Amino acid sequence: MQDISRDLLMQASKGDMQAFEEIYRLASSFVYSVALRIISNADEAKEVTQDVFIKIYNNLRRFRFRSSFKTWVYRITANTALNALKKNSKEMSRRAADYDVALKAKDDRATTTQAIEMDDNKKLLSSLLDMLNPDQRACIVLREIEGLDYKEISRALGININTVRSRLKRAREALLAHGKRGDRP
Amino acid sequence: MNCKKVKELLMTDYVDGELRPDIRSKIKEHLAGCSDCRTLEEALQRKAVEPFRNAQKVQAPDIVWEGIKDAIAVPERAPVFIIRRPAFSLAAVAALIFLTIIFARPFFISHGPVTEYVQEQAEFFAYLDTGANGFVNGEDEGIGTAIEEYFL
Repeated sequence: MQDISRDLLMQASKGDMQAFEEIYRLASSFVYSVALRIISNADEAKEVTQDVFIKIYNNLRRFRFRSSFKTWVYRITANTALNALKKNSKEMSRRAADYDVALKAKDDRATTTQAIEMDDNKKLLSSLLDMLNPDQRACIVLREIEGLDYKEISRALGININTVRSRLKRAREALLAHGKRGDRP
Repeated sequence: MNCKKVKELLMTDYVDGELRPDIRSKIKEHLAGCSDCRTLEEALQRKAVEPFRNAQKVQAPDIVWEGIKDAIAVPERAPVFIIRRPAFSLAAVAALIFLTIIFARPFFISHGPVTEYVQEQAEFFAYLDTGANGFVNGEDEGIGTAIEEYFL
């Protein structure tokens, strides 16, 4: 996410819509991208993006710069997207709980090797993210796609760094296991 | 550094660039001499790291900003009453009720001014009802409508 100046934030907090629109322009790509990767549904990702910016607008005047604005946005985005995923997608939770069932379903559709050859990288990403439970998925999205470091991820998700580490490890083990099945002749 | 420790670090801090340079160098040395760990590192990069790093950036559709503008154009309803310290407020309300009961008690228990006033009014209406005031309570004098009867 691009840096946003304190002056711009102060202006927006006083109700300046142009300043708020500029904040939206600088941060919306991050928010929408994270929401879309976590939820895997464009309509819900739009709703989450909208919710996140309405929360930012309504709470900006109470923001005291004790933490960075970026961290605050990361946290609101991750929480809102994860809540939407957990609330609206019982099927996803079931799949996450039964990882083997998910692997088998994916095997029937396409192997990882074949998927890599797909022109549409979106399908590959979506297929890989589908292998992960919501918490692992959030960690992978923030780390691999958005490039946050462990400290930023821990603040965004409100968990400690060792939990970030273990979620990433489990996520990668799952992806490797999926890849091995894909390599089978 | 043994293979178990190397594999542990490969899965997390090594691929994520979170290691101190000296530990990173030790792992690289280990990888140069261990084909098992090298295979894991290559598979990890190919299957669990690179696909995500090639992800395209996505932009939120214009309709999202339109929705946000519409939502924030409707001002938030200001709270009518904000209780900043609920415990103190509750105690104050309880004290007020207690004092009201203590001070109002004599009016209700003894024959205070309120009781006397009510009694006087009752006697006055009873007096009117007897016709002693010169008004006749007969049918001829009334308007004879249902609304009048209701008020009487």
